Amino acid sequence: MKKVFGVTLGILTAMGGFVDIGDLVANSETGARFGMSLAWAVLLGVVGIIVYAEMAGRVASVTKRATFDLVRERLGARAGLANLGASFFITMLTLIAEVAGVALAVQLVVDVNYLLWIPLVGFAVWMVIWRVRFTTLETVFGLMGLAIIVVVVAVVQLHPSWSQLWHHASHPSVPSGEGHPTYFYYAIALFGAAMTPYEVFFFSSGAVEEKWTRSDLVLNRANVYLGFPLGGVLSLGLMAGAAIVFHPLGVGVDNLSQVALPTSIALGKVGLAFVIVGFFACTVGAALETALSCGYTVSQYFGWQWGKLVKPRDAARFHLVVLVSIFVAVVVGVTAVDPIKVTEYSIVLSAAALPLTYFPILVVANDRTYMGDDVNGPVKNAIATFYMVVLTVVALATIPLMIATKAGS
Amino acid sequence: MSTEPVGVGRQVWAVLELLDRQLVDRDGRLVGKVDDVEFELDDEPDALPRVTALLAGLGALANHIGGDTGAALAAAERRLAARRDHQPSRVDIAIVRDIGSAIELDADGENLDTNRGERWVRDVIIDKIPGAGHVAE
Repeated sequence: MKKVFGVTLGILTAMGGFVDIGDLVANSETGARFGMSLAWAVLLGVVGIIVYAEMAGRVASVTKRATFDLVRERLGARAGLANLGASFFITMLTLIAEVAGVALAVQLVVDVNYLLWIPLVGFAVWMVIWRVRFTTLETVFGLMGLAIIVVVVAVVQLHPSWSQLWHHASHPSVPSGEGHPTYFYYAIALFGAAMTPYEVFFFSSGAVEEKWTRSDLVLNRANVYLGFPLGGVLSLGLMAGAAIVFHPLGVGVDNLSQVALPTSIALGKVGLAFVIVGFFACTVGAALETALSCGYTVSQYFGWQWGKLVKPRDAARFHLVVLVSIFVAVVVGVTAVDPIKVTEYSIVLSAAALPLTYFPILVVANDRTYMGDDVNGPVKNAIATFYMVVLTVVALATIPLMIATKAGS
Repeated sequence: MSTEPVGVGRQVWAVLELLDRQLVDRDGRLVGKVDDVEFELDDEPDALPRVTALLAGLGALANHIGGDTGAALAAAERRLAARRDHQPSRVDIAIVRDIGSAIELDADGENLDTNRGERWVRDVIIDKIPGAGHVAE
């Protein structure tokens, strides 16, 4: 059984990165505005997260040390604290958005204003973390989230001109009416969503929670090679659906019901039902992933006992951080901040913090005193180094682009 | 075939191998990070300095970080800890069992000085919530 359901950690992690509330809308919005001409940014991100999540999972399996533990050790107390501040802020922003996102998904079914659902969603998310075993949580929401695959089925059912989509994706160009800065701003948003840092925090901590050891390295690879490409396919599916339905009409996408439209056009009510279940599971999954990551990062920086393997009273400060984070998310959420805008900002801001998170993983994955024979090979190091350069360029370009394009508007 | 006890004759680089490492108690519980290292300088003319303790916790971390951030952390620590002596929590070097990817201590984490914060949060907040004493199902 462990081997059958063993890949749900990777699936759940990837869903939190690729198809959480902000990305559901951002992917569709990109498809509507730019067609498939930004598909390359998703692919670039998928390969990047595969390379680094595999390393983070391998380090966690061999040494029992999750990513933020390494960040503290390799960057030291001061730079580590700066990274903690940035990473926690980004993760917190995403958590705010996801709690509101779950409420928005519920609102699609029950016509009660989503703001009223937010406190209930917050409580439910906390209850799951307080009471439900990690493996159960991961399996239930990972598998339930698979309902979102219906968006890919919908794209096939829409009988698009594949050659045209492919041409668009393989010969990227900036559509008329859109400026270069805006185009690259959205490229960074897609790339940043794929490589958002809480994915490695959650994945590596999850590997420790799952008690992976050196003998689970195959399982680690299976999780990474299945989960993240699936996330990428879903991301591209949402983009293609919007590119087919909205792009020719010149219609923009800015809310969740529009995201569901290509699927309900192609597959009717059944499709719509699946897509709503998918929205719900993916946003709940992302809420769990970010709430836990808030606790993981703080606890791992300070060296506190963390995780769900022990009783809550034996990881008291970890549970306190999670509880306070969810509480803050609810309080900010009910002020009616736009959850979709919040995630878009958090993704782009996270792009600025990426090198600080991924660099320590690369260093430790090469350290023989920790890893023994399971250090990186030369090919992996070449790719990882290439991505370090990309991440640094992206980090430097992000904030100026954000200001220049008024956040892509 | 070495018959020497672990650690004897081994050189340890303080910043690389001690600082910012995880402290783990005898049952594998995580009980803080090495935030600083304490030396004792003897008054004897030829005596060598000796490592006497590892310092762990917000107080030591605040001094280590320094600047405005450090000052803010130190102020927070003073308020939270409600201790008069303003001394950071110490882990006596004598209870260090192994220095590896983590620092293993031959002690029960529950009774360590560094565990005060965890104990307080547990007793005052977490234990009041139903289900705190149950492993998740």
